[in-house]
Amino acid sequence: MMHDHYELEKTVLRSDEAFTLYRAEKASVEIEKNTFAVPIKLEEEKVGYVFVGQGKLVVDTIVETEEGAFGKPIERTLSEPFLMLGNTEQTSQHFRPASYDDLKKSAVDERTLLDSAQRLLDRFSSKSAVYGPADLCNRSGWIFAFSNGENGLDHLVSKGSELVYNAKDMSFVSKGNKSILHSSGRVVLSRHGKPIVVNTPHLPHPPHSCC
Amino acid sequence: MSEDVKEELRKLREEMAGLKDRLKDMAGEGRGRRRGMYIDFGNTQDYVDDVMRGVADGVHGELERSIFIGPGGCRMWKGHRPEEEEEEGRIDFGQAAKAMSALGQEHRLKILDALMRGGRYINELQEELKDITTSTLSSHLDVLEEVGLVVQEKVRGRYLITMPGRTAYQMARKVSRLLEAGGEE
Repeated sequence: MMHDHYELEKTVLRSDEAFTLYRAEKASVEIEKNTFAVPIKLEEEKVGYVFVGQGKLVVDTIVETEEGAFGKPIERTLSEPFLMLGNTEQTSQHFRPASYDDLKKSAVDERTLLDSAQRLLDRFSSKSAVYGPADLCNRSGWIFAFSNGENGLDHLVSKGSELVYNAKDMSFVSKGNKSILHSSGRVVLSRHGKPIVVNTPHLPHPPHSCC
Repeated sequence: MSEDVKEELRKLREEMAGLKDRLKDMAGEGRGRRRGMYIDFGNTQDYVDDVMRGVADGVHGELERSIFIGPGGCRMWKGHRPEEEEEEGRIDFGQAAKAMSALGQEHRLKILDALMRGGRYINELQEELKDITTSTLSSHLDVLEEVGLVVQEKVRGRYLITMPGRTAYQMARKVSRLLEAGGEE
């Protein structure tokens, strides 16, 4: 289901401290102190943020099997704006409205910051087929979208113990005792530790979309 | 090609031959039962023959080049198998030497042995491998990780043995057993 009713609040917030935005068994997203955030609204309810500043994404894109582990963790510095939809209550505790001085200290122009946040949200709305309000508004899931430098977006989607990471050069899905990694011309599936490895040099990478 | 695959193909050919015979019989029965009426089974037989041959060739080709079934699971190559599989004799001496060098330390073999039983946090490894100090354990893990025999999860921090790590460990165990047996199995 496609949703393009996301809107930005025209308010800029600033983080007082470094903190972990999201953490699960196989992934985490952290942001640094002095990161700016612009709230995202859906039908007048706050459902997420666009962050502008520094952060770190870690995803353990590793498939465990009886024959050994396949894959390596992804560690990525987030210096481009990125977006989060999900639980905003906990996140909001770490932010306060950014003052003129805060923006000045960071050499950030408010208009430029809001424009870049809007561009990311527009890109997300146009390119991502996102499961919408039902999941997000009951706070049971998380969606992150990260700019991948090629006018595309990498996505991290999580709900309970299920996790999907879809980047320009790889896809990883983990659900209970099943996981799939598609990377470097190879698909590795594991179910209860039993591996299936399919070498697919000519198989195109999955379409770059979310969900 | 494995014996199983050969056996499957043999059965398929037998079935094909049986089908041909059956068609001949049917043609005979048809002529016999329906006097004055002739059904040309010749073309049908050729057609079935062609289809069966095509199927058999297809199965043969796919099995020949695509599938290898291993003991712990299934590996498949669609299209050409990777070069390294075709040229089993080839070896990257530099990489192999690095892996062998990482293996050439008793403590590291003990670490791999522990990881063969499942992923471990560093404190669990310390608990199991009491004769290795904490700092030494960390540096051994770094060496094993650098050559790809071990991988560490970055979120939870567990250490896992990789597929090359398992193979290296099994090789070390095999060598050890052979040496214990005086070079004979």
